[in-house]
Amino acid sequence: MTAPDPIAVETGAADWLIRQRDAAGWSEDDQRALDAWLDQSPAHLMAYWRLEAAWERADRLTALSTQSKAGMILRAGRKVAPIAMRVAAAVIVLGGIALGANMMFAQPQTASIYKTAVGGREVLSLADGSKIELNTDTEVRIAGDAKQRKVFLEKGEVYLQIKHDPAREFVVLAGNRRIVDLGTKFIVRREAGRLEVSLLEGRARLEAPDDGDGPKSIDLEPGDLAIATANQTTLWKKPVAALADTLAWRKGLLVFDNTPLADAAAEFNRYNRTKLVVQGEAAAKLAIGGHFQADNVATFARVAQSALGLHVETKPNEIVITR
Amino acid sequence: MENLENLNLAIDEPGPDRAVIAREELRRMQAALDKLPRRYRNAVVMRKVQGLTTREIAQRLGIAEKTVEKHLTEGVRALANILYRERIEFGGAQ
Repeated sequence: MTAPDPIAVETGAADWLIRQRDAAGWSEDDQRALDAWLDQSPAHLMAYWRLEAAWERADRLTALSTQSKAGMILRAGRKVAPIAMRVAAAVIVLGGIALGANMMFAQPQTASIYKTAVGGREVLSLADGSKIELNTDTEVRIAGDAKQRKVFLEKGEVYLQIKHDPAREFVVLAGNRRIVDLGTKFIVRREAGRLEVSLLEGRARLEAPDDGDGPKSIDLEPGDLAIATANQTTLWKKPVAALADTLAWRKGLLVFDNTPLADAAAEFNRYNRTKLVVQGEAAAKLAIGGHFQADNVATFARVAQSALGLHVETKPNEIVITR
Repeated sequence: MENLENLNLAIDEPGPDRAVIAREELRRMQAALDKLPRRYRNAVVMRKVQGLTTREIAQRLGIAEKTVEKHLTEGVRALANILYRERIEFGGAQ
């Protein structure tokens, strides 16, 4: 069987959806024909669901009708409502709020805390030209003085693009590890008992504490992935492109490549309050690949149900997947 | 405001203010809508904002129902492509 043309499938799915959702003229025969079309291939199902999700999200536009009786004044760039707060990806500045990013590092003794919520994402632009991107559920503390710039990663994941300054080193502190920038782009991800450092460009040095044998450090090169636990560090050499895939979160995407379902679910759970629970080893080991919206758990669960043939049960705060 | 309260949001825990999230989603949807070609956008607005059927839209615009269907079909495809960039594959490790 040759693979169906994705554009033709998508157009077909759109035709069905628009006809079905029209208030007039949808019969039981039509529904049966649609069901048969959806049964023909997972590609039909996926295309239909994707469009259905977009179409249902568009229902929110109905709110516009109460704002404008004319209804048609949807001019490009018109603001819907005054949005005083930035939300989903809100950064809560607990300290130094009046100073703002431009003053960061400028004053000794002051530390600013930046947090993202579950599902949040934020970019901090520092006065020295460096950038720190915070992924979901992340907390950093920023401090510094004339000689040193310091970022404490309390939890979560950050992507750092550092403007190197030999006179003023840039240090990331996470648990008992220090990462010293030597002019680089790198990712640091901290979870309970585990720290990952991925180096994309330049160089950095990962330092472990002195445990009696003197301090240990590893110089990282592009493509290096260092995984540190409390008292051990493992170094993996990877293609830089593979590490760059882990940065898909900057676009709100998760990229899986032959990833066990349990691991993929754990990734989704970092970004969403509705948690995926994969029960049983048989289901946990199924492999999945592709690009997913990090906040679209529902689609992922539907894939598990329909394409992988798993049982999916939706509860108020979790989605349970079993074989 | 009622519409804003009824939104099916991923966030179901108390957290950032729901109404603010709803406005944010509305803003995002409108931004997506604004990217559509004008003809498609008009059809989508008449359906989604004004709640008109395909026939009613055709009558108001003085065009064929088939044409309206085409505009809606292209409209939903364009919206999905703006909102989602998913590509899904299946591995076989069983």
